[in-house]
Amino acid sequence: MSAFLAGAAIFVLANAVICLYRAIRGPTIQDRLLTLAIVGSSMLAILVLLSAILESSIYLDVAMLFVLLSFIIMIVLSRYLETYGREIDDSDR
Amino acid sequence: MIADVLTIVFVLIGCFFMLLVTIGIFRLPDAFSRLHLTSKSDPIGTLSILLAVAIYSGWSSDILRLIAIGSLLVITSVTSSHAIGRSALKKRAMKLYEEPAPAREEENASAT
Repeated sequence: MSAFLAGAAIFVLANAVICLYRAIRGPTIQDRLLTLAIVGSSMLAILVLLSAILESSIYLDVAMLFVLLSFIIMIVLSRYLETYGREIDDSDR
Repeated sequence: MIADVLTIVFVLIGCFFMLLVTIGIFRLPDAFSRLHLTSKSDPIGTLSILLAVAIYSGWSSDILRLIAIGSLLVITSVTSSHAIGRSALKKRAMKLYEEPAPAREEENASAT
């Protein structure tokens, strides 16, 4: 059973790494931000699976911290981009 | 036995939604359609993995932590998706309308 959970964690990690393609080659900065949010919640899923595999509940506290940190990063960066970000024109698309 | 089957089913559902997010990030054309897919599929996939781990670990104090993580995840992921979408809208990441093509106007003029 724990081998199955480890396989699922590796699958989620592979998905997060493939998603980073859009963070490298995103047309707009909002795409990069969105990819960062997705990678953050994938890391959350990996940490929760890791706590089930290793049977130690300390990883759940780390996961809770990950959720809050990712939320603060997203809110601060998107409010910053709303005010000071560059206007997106047709050359970005 | 039933707990194992439910764990496997919910982990597979979560992996399916994660795969959906990856495909959508690759294939969809602009920032708003990517937001439209991922802001729903991503919390569903993560929540289903949380539910699978909650079933797997049984009745222990982990359940309370998993409930706290799940409710925080629902609130914060929706809020951050909305914030990203609003910043994309204010900076015009998408054309809200298409300019009419001149060839079609000429066709209409010749038809009338």
